Amino acid sequence: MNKPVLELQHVSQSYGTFKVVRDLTLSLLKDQIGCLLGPSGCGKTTMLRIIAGFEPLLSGQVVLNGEVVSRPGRLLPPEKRAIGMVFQDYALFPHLSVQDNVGFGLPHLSRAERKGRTGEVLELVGLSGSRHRFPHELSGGQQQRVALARALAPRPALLLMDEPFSNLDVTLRDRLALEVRQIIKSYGATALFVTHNQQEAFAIADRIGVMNGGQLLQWDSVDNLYRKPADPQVACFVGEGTLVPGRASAGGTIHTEVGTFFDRHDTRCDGPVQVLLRPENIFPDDSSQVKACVVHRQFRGADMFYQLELPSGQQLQALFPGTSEWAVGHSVGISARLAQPVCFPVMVSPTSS
Amino acid sequence: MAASEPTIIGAMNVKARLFRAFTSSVRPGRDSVWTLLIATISALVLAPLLVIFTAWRQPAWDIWEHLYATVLPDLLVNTLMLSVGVCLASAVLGVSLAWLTAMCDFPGRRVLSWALLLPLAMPGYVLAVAVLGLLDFGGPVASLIRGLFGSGAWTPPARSTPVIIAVLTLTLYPYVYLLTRNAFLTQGQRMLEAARTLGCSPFRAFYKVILPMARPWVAGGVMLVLMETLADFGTVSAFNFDTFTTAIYKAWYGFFSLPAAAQLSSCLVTVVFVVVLVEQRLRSRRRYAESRPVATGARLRLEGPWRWLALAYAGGVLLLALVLPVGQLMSWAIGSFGEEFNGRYLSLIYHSLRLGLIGAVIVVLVSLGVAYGQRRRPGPGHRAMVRLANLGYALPGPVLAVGLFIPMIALDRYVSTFLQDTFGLEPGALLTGTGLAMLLAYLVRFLAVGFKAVDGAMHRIPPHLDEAARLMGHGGFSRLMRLHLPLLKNGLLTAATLVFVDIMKEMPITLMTRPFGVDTLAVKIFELTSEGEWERAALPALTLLAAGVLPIVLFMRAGEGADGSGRSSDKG
Repeated sequence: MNKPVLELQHVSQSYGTFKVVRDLTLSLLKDQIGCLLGPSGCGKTTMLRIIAGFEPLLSGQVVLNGEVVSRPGRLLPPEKRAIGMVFQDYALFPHLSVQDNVGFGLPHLSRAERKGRTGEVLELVGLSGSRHRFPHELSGGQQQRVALARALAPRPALLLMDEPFSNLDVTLRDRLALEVRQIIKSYGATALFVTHNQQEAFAIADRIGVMNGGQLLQWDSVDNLYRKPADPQVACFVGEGTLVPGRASAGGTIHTEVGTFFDRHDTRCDGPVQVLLRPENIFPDDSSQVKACVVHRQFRGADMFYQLELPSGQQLQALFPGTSEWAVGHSVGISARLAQPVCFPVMVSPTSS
Repeated sequence: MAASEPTIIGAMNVKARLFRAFTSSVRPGRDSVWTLLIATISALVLAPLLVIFTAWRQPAWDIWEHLYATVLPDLLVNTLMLSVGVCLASAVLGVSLAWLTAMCDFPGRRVLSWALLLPLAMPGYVLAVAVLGLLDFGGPVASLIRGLFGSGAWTPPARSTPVIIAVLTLTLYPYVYLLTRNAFLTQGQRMLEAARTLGCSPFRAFYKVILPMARPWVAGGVMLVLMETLADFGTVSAFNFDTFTTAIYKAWYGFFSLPAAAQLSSCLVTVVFVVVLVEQRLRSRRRYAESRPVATGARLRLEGPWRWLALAYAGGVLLLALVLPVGQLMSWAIGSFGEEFNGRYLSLIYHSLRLGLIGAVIVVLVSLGVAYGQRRRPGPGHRAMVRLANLGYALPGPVLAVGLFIPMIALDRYVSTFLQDTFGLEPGALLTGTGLAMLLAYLVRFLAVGFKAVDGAMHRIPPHLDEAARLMGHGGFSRLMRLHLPLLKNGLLTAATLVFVDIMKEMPITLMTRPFGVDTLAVKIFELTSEGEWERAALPALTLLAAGVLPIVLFMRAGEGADGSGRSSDKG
């Protein structure tokens, strides 16, 4: 039942000597919504275009529903892949009405069937009333939904979305992101989209892949990305937090400036490590020996966000209750509580030691 | 459905605009000097139209009867065949070349994509000179065929409709090519990719999406081609092919009947205005369709023999439109250089340069005034008048010549009767001998060219700069001198170059309204071709061609700049 729709196996691509995508492997199960998240230029859009068949690949292969569609020397043309795509600028056909845009991918259906399917999809995206209008007469959000309807209408095996919300108002984005997730889910589609915006990724995706420099750092659920980042880069990129230096010893104890933690599962760390401290892990504690100085604070409604500095100069981020009122320059006693500490061994290169 | 909605919106806009124009057009005040200037210029466009249409008050029936019996039916058929033929051929050539260079990848694409614009520099009559010489009975093509197949072999007739259509097409297709290529470049690749994710093969995507999407651009280019074809005088007269423009010339110089010339002009203008209306509507359709600039995708890589076929096709067009004719002209020019390069040739160049310079200065100054006036007083009344003034580019040269010369004669007559009656003087031709009609005709015809460049540059100066300068205490004139002129320098130079070259290449206005003894390169080419002296026409033709390359270079430098910035932003 839950077999992978899309499998990327060791995919690499380069422009000249510049490696855009390096050895990328992931698989996306049926009915899942996946997301490639990363800063611009990290290779996520290239990956999307490779999946769609617009770009060849240097090595590895792309498997769609069990069929190899891309490998070096073989490239199934995009039109034969049963892939739907929502482009960053939507790429709606300006000379066709909304209805004709949506029906464009259904030439094999009879007129009546096409009308039925078009109406169905437009209903789903809430644009039944606009079927006779033209793209330039629609708002940005409406255009986006037409693009989504058009991509979904032929019932693609996989739906791709390239920065689907980047052209929209910030206020519109959050609402549409949720809406799009509901539409995709109610249509029962499998989708993969790329974005540089964490909030969007969190709002839509079941699985997120964090990319940087052409590499996929981690492909995991939202929860795991936040709680069990596999890589210091992921830890820093997803959510807020600080990596604090410490020392791990056999048996799972980790000593840091902020306190001592116990790692129950993982004893592989032995030696210098970095421990991830999220703002919500830090609590005010008057009885604590650890004192930190308030560098900066920022009101966040229910919470107050503090930038703290430890005596060693190490910076720390903390989220205290909104009622806390420590002024900048004030010294605060703090303690850190970690149910399961996340730590990364620090590579000590032989030359520097 | 698709067409009607924008039309209705457009019509409503026009009504609202007209209403506002009438209620709030001219506000009194110091700035009314701008209103006066803009009104005068738009009146200059209206005047010749009024003149040619009121000429029907004295219908020259005798000449019409003669025309009807001799040339009129031919003339209508000729004009129709020429228009249809040139438009169709230009559309096919322009669209196919745009598709190849914008969307596909094949060897030589980069060079060809700009080289295919070069034929814009070639006035139709220059290509006509080369082609007539090449296809002449004793010319190289006929000699080659006779050499291969014997002296009785069929040789392509030089003065035939297909040849004329080919000559005009090869000089005019760049309009379609340029506009369509832009459409393909800005939207095509994304649209192609979108269509392919929806199951279209590239070929199906071309005729289902790319072509229909680019229709307003293609049609806009074709309308420009049609306007140029209808206005063409030099090419058709070189081929002795009767169309409206040559008929106007003959009515004036053959029958010495200005009324008949004016009446023929009015027929031509009516057709032209239909074309203009269509063109303007297409332009507003394009505005609707214009989307944000988008990142371009990958080009379609042509495989195997297709790559070489593409190269051969695009290269072949360039060969016929540019390489062969220029080669032929060069060989003649070198052969006759000793005889032709003399004082007379230098005086031709002098006249051409002088007229071009004077005309360019006048057009640029007026454009600057109009653009500045519109900026200071941006009312809808001004906008309507400026649009009217810019319609002058659509008036064929012979029409303008007739329409502006007739009032000059009337004025001359009035003044000389007045002088004779009151002072007993015999002043002769006052205005008609000065070339005033010619300069006014240049102004009307080329104002749009200059205005577009100047206004474009003016629009790139943000209004906040004006406001900042005002807060710092600079009045209107001071702002013009210290803010606008320095910022507009490049725009003004571009405008001047474009107008200068256009005037140098201009044939019918100069031919029909020049003062006695003022021979330009274009006029000389007309005289030499009407005598069949192709070889002697080669030197002036090449000189004009060289001048015509100037604006293309300017244009491409501007394009390169835009291209370069695009590339660097891609990297970022």
